[in-house]
Amino acid sequence: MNRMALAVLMSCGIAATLGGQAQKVNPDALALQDFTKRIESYMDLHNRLEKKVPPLKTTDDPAKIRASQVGLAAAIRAERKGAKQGEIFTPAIAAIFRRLMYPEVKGAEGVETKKAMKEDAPKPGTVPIKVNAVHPEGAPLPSVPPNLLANLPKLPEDLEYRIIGHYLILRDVHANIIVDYMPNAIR
Amino acid sequence: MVRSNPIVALSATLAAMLTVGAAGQVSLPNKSGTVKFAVIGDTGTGGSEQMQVAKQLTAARGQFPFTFAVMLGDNLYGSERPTDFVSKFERPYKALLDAGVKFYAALGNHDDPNQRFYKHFNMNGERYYSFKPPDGSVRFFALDSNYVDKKQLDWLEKELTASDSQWKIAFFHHPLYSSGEKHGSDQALRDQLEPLFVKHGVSLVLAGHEHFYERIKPQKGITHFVAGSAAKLRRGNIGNSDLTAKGFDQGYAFVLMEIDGETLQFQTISEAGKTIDQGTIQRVDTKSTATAVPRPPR
Repeated sequence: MNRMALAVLMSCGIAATLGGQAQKVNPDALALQDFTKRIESYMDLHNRLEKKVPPLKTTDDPAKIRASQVGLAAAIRAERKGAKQGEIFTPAIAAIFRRLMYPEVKGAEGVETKKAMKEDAPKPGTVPIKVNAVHPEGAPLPSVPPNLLANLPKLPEDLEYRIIGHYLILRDVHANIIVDYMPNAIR
Repeated sequence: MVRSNPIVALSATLAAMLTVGAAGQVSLPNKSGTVKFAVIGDTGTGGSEQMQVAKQLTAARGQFPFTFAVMLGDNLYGSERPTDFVSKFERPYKALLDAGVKFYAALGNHDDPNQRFYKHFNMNGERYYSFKPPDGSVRFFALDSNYVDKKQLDWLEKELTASDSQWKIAFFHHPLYSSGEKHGSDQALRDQLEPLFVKHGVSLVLAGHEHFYERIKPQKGITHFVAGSAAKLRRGNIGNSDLTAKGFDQGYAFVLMEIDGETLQFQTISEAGKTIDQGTIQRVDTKSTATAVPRPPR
């Protein structure tokens, strides 16, 4: 499924929603709408807390960059103290994501994509896969193959996908923390 | 391994491992009014090798007054505390920074994207950006090859379309072509970027990631350099490949470049001050409107 298919899927869901009560809705489209809402909800929190920490802006003092990063991570962790895996990647959303990614990693054509993901990956066990965990200093941030990214829903500026092992990570870039993750994303 | 193969669109005058003293002998045309810059990749260790390469780079600038350097990613290995910015960047390149040399960084897989807010990397808070030196008809496009999403591809297409510079030079971390046994060519990235480069007349691509130096035979009219050995070295890692125009995996290296009109001169220098490669690239107009579009996702 490519980006266009993803867009069609989402628009079908919207049409069904607007169209009336009796229409059968596309469950995938609704799940993707749900994903968008959950992302928006997280970003509301992110943006609100961002105003309370030192701003992240261009500076020749790296201590200010670090203070902003650490400050936001602490604020998010405090606010999402009880956050658990699956709050954004619900089972329904995770199932769709697996289907969106699968065409890019299956069979002979997926070999290159899998190889690219493994090359940059941190050593097993060096990155704690937990909600609110910080990506450890010194561990590489594995690149995400562009063909895989093209199949996933777009994210706001301060969020990104990363893949570590078989996990798909949703990462807050400014705060350098894991917002959510889904296991068995890559088969 | 030091390997040399004949090439077609590139008239390279290969130096035979010239030993030229501590400062090296910079033998570019070194004319006034040209665009002069340095290329360094995979730098941020803070180790003695980085210091040694930085020393040669500084000495080279004594002869060849480049005004800026492009960094090909992995700007800071390991921790990124404030002291690391000093030990892995500011201290090694202090003489150059003091002399007003500007460093333009791309992000590598070891870099926290928040480096884009560090003023001395001149990224202006962006993970990808372009800039144009004051002299010459040249525009550089710094990409974040860790995360090439649709937004970045759209931005790149827009920037390339808008640019009327004769020379369009892209730099980023992961090489589209490489003979490295550790990593090799990044095919998925190539599928997305190369069609745009061809379509919009990019002449030169600079990448790191592989810890050696390799000049690639022109691919679709574009010359590619892999220069990720300014502080790290993967000795003997260049494999047998038809891609290689020149390879050097027995020492550390940086590249000097000079653009004068339609001509780009380059000289690659090791940490020992030896010239390991040099030559001339004539700009080739690769612009093509025929079928040069990114491969759609499967």
